[in-house]
Amino acid sequence: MNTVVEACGFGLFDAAILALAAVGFTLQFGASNVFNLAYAAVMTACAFVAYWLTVTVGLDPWLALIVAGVAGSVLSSAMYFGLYGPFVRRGAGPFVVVMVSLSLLLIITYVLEILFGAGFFTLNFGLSGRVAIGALVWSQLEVVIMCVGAACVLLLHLFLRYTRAGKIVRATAGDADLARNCGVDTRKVMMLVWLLSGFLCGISGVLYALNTTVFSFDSSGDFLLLVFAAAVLGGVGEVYGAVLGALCIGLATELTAIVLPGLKEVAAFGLLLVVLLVRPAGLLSTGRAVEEEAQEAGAAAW
Amino acid sequence: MSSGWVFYGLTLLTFAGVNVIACWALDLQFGTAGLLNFGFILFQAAGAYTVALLTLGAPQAGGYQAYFFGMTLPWPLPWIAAMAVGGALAFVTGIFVMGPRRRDYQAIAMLIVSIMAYTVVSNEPRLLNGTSGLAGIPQLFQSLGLVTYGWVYAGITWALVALVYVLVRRIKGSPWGRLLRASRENRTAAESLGVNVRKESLIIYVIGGMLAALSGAVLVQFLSAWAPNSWQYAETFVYLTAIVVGGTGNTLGIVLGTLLIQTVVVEGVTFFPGFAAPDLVASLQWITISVLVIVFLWWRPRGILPERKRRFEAGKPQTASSAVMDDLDQ
Repeated sequence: MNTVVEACGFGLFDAAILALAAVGFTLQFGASNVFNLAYAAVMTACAFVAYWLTVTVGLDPWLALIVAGVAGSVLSSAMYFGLYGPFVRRGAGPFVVVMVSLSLLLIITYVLEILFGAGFFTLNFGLSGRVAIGALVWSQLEVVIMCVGAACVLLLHLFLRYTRAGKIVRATAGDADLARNCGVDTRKVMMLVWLLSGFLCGISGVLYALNTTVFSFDSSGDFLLLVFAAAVLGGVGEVYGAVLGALCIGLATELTAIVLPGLKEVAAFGLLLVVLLVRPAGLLSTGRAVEEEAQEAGAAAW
Repeated sequence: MSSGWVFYGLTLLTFAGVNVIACWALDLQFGTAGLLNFGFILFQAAGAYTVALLTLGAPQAGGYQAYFFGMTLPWPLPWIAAMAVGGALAFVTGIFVMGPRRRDYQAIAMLIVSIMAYTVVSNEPRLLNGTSGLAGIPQLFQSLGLVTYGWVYAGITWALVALVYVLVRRIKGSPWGRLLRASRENRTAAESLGVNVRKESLIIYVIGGMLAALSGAVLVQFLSAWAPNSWQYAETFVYLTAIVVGGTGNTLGIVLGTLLIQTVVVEGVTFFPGFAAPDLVASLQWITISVLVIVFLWWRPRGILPERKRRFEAGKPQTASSAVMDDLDQ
């Protein structure tokens, strides 16, 4: 029984980081309809930025976390305005956009290998000690990571729900043409969305690197799997779906780890496949994103 | 010319044959039916592992490699079994990933499937010997001597390429091929005319899976070893690059694209004299391929040899919907 409760603790912790990453990813897709596979590579790149700042430059870790977030913002918006945007404006279909994002993923990954080499790296923020809440036991670091993750998601929720800018973002995500007709400057909205999601991406990359014992230029593959599993599970483009998806994936992986430690990610996989079979559009999807856009996608296969 | 160089040339010829078969298989799924299979490499791996297990013999306790099952079958049988396994795997995964209508969803779902399979095989050493992979897979015609063996194997490979070529041409030229292209161009229109797009897509998906497994089978008996590193998700991307560069949907264009990518990018770089560390070369290869894809998608999205527009009435301009009607009328 105790192991189950402990596993739930780990699961909640995994979910906090995962939610942060998945929310950023799903925001990009919801607002600009870009399936940004390079998201995972940006996470890794930001982890390396934090590593470089703390180890080589000697910056305060928490300041490095913020700088890494900003780096994520800059990199993500550069990707959108440099590549995705022009392709989308040209009327590129889903295949072209996904191929471009996969190219970007590989470019960033191997540029990182050239810059940092193929070794393994460890981020250390120097927080040890344990915190126990009932039967749940976390390390101090884990508690801090969870708080940062939860705070970011909560702030994003408040922003989207209660501010004018947040409402404009949601309106643009719902129907970009209609928003443009109502006088919304969608370019500015895209800028805001990609800066914001890039920031979340950067922070989550650093938190992930803190959580795993080692990371390398090649960690993007692991990130890719979990982030997309959480986002697709919840329904891509649905911010709250991503949080729910992250919770499901986090708990499922850690509970599986009790029985089959080597195969804990398989649980995420199984869960995802079942959801795709039963609810192809994801748990919280309204169906709009999938059905209506499939028509547009069908009209312009390229 | 020394026999070493001849064998090297024959090795390249064999690899080229394998890659052409694989690219045609992927193009049947993507170029003809519009299915984005980003986990394509998984099917090649399935074929390779099947052949490995069916030629290595029963696993020995305490042997240098562990695998869950093994036996020894005479030559063509493992390759046929590999195709069956590839087809079955495509059928099972197809049922799951054909659910979402959006093509990028399908692409990501398959990508996740392939990364998952990679994770499972790497982390579970009892299954297929983990990250070290399986080695010592018996090669065919070993008694023939190096160069003769190279000629025979390359000959078998290219005979298969010819067979697959006939198959691909027949599929693409048949009424069913037109139906698949019609569903690719406008799924809603095809469905409104009574086509069960999901079923037809699944069939072409299984055929593609079988051919992919065949390419893996041919490859693994030549290499005599197979490890997870040979089928990382990025390998699918190399095949997709070959298709995009050569010309999506154009059977001969894909041969051109495959040979270009293989000779110029993958093999060519290794000939740069004393050129830095091997790691750097590999990184630069990946970056080159990625940049090539972006360049082609922007300036020449239909490739060097674009898919020919099929016209059924000379002089009559075709819109998307009239093309669908024409296709289905034939």
